[in-house]
Amino acid sequence: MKQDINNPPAKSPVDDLFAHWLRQHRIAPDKAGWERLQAKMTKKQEPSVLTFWQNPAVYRYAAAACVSALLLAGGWLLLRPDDGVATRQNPVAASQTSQKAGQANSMRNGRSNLGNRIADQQLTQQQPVSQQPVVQQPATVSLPEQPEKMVAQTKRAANRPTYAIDPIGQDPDGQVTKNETVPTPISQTSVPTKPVAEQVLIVTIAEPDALIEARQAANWSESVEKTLVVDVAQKPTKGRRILQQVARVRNGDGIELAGDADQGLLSRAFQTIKNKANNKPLKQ
Amino acid sequence: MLRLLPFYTTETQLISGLKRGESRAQKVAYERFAGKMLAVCHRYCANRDDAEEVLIDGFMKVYEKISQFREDGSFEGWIRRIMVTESLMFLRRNKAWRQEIPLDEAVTEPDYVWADANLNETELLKLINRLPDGYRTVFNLYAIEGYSHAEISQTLGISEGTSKSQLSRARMLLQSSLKKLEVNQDETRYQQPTSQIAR
Repeated sequence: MKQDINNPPAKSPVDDLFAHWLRQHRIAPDKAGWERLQAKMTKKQEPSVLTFWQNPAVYRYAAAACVSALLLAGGWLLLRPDDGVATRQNPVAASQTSQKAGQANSMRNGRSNLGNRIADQQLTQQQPVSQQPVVQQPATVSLPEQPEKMVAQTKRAANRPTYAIDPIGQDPDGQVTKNETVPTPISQTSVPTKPVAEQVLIVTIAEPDALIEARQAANWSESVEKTLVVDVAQKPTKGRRILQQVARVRNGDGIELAGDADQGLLSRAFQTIKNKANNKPLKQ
Repeated sequence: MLRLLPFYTTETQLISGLKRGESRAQKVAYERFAGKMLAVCHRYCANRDDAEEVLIDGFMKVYEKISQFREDGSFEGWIRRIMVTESLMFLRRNKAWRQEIPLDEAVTEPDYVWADANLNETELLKLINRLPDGYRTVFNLYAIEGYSHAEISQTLGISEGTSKSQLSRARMLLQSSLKKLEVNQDETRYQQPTSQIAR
């Protein structure tokens, strides 16, 4: 951008005067100049720096996703299979799971429950174990004579003096120290070297068929009585039903399905019977 | 926790910061060159507000085009060229800058030694700003920026002859203004003792 060196133009003294004074001249800019420049730059950059959460189209998708997630969660809560029904239908599985949970708890407790386990082991060795499929006994159901005896024996065995093996109380020789309260200690050879939790046998008592039939009959009669008592007019409203479901969940029971087939059929049957009974005298 | 702020002591550091798009480097560049560049813009734009506007646009262009700057030349010279181009664009957008003033009377040469001793930058800038836009632009490009007539004609889209004539007219106007200032100064110098006696 400079002038030709070979053909330098004639410089006027006016040019020299102004060039000399104004070439390096400075003027203090406005104090708000930088702010204005910044504001102008941000204004220019705004459309290009639009992040995805500032995009209004994303809001729609996010709202749709939230609504669908809520619907899915609600549907799952209302339509999920009832846990209580499952345990009623398959008590063996429930008993097995409860036994496993008990095992896990006993493992956690460690050697403090060792005495009880040994007692259980002795009991299982004494008592014959039936080979029938395992059925869990509800706490409220009265057991036949034989299981009652077994429970009593189990209680007695549990109350017996225990043999505590304290790892801290071992002698330097490696001999196990005895608890002074225990009258007859178990010999060292009788204590298994393996973890005791693995050797515990699970004792389950088979329920007699007669008892099962009797209970089923009692349950059926109870349900029939309930349906007789419930008035059709006093059918619970939606809100009340939801509250009942919440109360059931809080108590640990499963959610009762809205279209429970048994209940609906029974109530319908009862209603038809009732209607017939009410209509007959009128016709007569 | 202390936060270290870069000072950009060297021009290379500043240019690197600008190329990285650092806001602090941009501010430092503005603070360092805004004064000089505003003077450049004000030589082309007679109005101070217009000059400030052109300065802001010019700095925005500097930040945008910094990647195009090859570090073999002067950084200040590069910014100055951007400012000149911005000023010319502004004049072209806003005004018909090709104006001609008829000069009938012959102008006598002013005393340049007196002018150099008695006038400052502000007064000289005022004289330039009184020129018509076309004259002022050609005079600035030729006399101060050092452009040739060929470059001026290419930049402004005029012929070289027009550029030369506009330059000579600008010179004559400036000479006449300087002569007037000189005469006024002499008159005030001679009038001062009389006024003092009258008091």
